[in-house]
Amino acid sequence: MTDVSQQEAFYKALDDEELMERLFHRDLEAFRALYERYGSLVYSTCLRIVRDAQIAEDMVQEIFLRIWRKPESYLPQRGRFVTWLTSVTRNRAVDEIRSRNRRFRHETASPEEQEREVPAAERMDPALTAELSDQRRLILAALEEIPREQREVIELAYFGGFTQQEISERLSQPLGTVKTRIRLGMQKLRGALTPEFKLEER
Amino acid sequence: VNCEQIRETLDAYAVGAAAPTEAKAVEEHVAGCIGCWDELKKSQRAAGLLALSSSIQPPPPRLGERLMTAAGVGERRRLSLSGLFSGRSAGWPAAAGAFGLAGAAALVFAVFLQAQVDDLQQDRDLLRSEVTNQGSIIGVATASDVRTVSMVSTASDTQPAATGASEPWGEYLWSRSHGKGVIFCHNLPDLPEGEVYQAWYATETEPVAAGTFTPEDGGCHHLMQPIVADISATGVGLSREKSGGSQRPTGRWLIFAPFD
Repeated sequence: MTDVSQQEAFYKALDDEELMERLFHRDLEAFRALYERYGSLVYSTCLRIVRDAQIAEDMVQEIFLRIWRKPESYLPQRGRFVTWLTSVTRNRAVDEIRSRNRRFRHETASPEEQEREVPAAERMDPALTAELSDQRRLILAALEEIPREQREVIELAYFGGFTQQEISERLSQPLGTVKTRIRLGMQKLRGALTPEFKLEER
Repeated sequence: VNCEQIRETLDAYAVGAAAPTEAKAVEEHVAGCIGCWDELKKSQRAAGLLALSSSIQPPPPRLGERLMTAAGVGERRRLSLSGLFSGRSAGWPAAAGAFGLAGAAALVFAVFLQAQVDDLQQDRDLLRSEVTNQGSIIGVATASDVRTVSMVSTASDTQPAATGASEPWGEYLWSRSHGKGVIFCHNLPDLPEGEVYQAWYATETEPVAAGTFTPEDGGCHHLMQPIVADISATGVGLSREKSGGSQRPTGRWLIFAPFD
């Protein structure tokens, strides 16, 4: 093994929180490892929300550089790094579309659209797809169990950056209906985070 | 606002759909209510799954290179790493390519789900972090390169240092190889409800906070929160502060040690 691959293996074995702690000591390799782990998640989320590859790219750079410069903004006692990162990413992307002209605001993709645009990359490699799809199937199955109208309001909020009030106006539905749909839909999504997921633990 | 009202808004808050006034009410409430805080965390983890429902696409390889260059600018690279780093930077796009698109996506899922599973066992995590802290403290105290400075009371600095049993005192242990420091202290006065001790690094300018603690029987072993690298500390001190800690020390040092 070369020095480089040994070093790579060392950083790969560290968990997120350990890598974050190394950022306090200005460890560039730890930063590289974090980016290798989560660059694609952050990029995909930004892309889905802002719908512009160049802007998404700039935002990924901004989000990661902020982590590098201010690692203290993540507080380990408040939860796992990846949960925090996902929420930082979503909020940053939504801020971006909110600050742009509202006419750029988009509908979230319909399931049919997503089906079309999705797995090009994943279909490339059947072996890896198998590993991926087992886990992902659980998530997609949980999402599919959510009735369309509940899923729609949740996605408008999460990916579209709309508040309940805005969704109610947009869909011409009473505010109370929107609130109920969010709660019912989220209840089902939470259900996805119970026993079956534990079985996935190695 | 009671728990029942807050719980009706938690899901909307987690997906970012709460109105600003509702969001503020949720934040204020969960800050003081562990039950609702726990429910909110569950909602937030569920909301995180939404991000995973998008197709995972790797960013262009040039982005990784750009990012590492931007992060590396102005950094003093450690000698041991500089050779490896410059050797690797050219290899970044190739490595990303070899890793493959599907590989990147699979990895994201694997680590995300693992984290979710761990999150469900929050208590275990808290326990683990406590164990890690204790391990760090032992690591520093027993390191071959450990350095020790005495922290003395500043209350009687016009008199010869008293060694009486009631005088607070401490030691600051620091190991370069561990990159961590620990304060051991003794004879700290008991604190009234609502107050804590806060540790600080003194610097050329403002002191930098390094965590709070409550002593047990007047003693402590406090692992200092890490200091950001571009600040160089000139000493270490303890002050008395309100619970939650302060931005700046509000009183004088209780005990202090200058670094030579």
